[in-house]
Amino acid sequence: MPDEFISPRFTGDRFAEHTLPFDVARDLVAYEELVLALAKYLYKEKHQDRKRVVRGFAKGFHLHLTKTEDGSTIPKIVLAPTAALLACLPIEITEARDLINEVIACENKESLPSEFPKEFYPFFDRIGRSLQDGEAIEWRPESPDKKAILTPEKRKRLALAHQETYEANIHLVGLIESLDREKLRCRIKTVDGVSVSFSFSKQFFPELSSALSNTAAFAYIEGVGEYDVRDQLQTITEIETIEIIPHYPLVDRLDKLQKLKDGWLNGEGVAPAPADLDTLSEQLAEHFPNGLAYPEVGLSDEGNVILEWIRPNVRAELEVNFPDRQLELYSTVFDPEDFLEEIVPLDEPDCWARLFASIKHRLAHA
Amino acid sequence: MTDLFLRQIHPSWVGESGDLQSRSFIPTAKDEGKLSVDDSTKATPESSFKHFTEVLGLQSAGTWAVSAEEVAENPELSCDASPLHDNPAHCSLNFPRGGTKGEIKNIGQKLAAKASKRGRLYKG
Repeated sequence: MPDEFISPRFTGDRFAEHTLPFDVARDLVAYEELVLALAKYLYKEKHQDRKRVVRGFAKGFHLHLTKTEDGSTIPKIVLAPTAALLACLPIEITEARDLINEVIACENKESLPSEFPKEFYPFFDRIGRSLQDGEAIEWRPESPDKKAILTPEKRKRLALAHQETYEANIHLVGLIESLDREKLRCRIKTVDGVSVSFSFSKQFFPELSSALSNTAAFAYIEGVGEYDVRDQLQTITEIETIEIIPHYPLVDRLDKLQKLKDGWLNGEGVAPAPADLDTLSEQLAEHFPNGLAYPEVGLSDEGNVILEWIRPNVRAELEVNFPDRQLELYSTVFDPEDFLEEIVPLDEPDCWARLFASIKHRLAHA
Repeated sequence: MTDLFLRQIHPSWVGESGDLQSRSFIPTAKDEGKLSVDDSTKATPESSFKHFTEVLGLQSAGTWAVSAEEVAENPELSCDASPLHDNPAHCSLNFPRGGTKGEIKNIGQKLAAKASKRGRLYKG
């Protein structure tokens, strides 16, 4: 039976099903690396006459993840040495664990333990990086007052304790501004207006190239970013996924409607069918013209999607009437007053092109 | 006659730019052509918001308004004082019975544009 080393408790909605998301496992790998590195450091501090740790120090030290306990979200991380190794496992391993817990338990106003070497704080770039807002890891859940709770905010504070930047997972979207095939460097302007340069591996060149200088092709990047103390993204240090999404701002606004349920409008209000929204997203990704400003996206109480362009002298509503399978354009120019109504069946081949042309024409009055 | 007709707007109908979507000034199916507003001589933007959110328990992004003159620019519209037992300021802007969807959209767009230009009077 292996000895229990530590039993952290994961809190947050993602852990409610008593499973651990795969990316959390990477945090635990970083934790294991820190325990081992810190144990070696503590050993050397005690034995300053030695230039290096004893050969085979902590050999056999591995943290294993056992099953999640029923009725809780406490995965057991268990030391799994053989019986022979158990007897000779250095005491610094458990000292390292306890010191890490002390560091994590430090609240904002408390001083971090001086015994913890400052060069080890960057481990917190990775330990807890998978945590999302509202999530936490309690490293000592059994403790009544020192649970050593690692939250995203605490992780950031520890990562920044002795460096100017910290790393965090990113999910960003933007337009590709420049691309250097030789140097494998790229510049992206995010939808929040931040421009960032980063290096990438060759495998991502085709996607990035397809989006270069295309104002309709938005790159969605998942990976790791480096942030400064003011939470400004400095660069992207690791890319896991790149996906090109045409007309992302519009598609994203439609995605948000997927969350609405019947009764969304103070008890009334029909929610659109998810399949209708998916079809609409696909059609807009295909037909929305480059150069036309993205509209506001809303719903009628009947559950029809309304794309609305709002300008000082003109309003244009394009209502996607799902039950009647038709597009309806209603547009008022205020001065001189003029009203346009145009109805086109959705099964008409050029329905989108016709109405987008009308909208462009109307907006010329803006 | 009131100066302003105060209206509570559902958060879904405030655009990302802060402009009001035109749908916010069109009666819903249950309204039966009567758009609910409050008379500004009997309610303030704040009291109107608080009644809507705290007494009725409904969602609102705030109080916007159209003036009586702006309403009068739409001859198809009429307005009635229609006080409720818990809201003496309540009025109805009556959209034309039998009006086409296009006619109603046209009125809604004009009212929403006026209210949006005036800006939010109370945020909560």
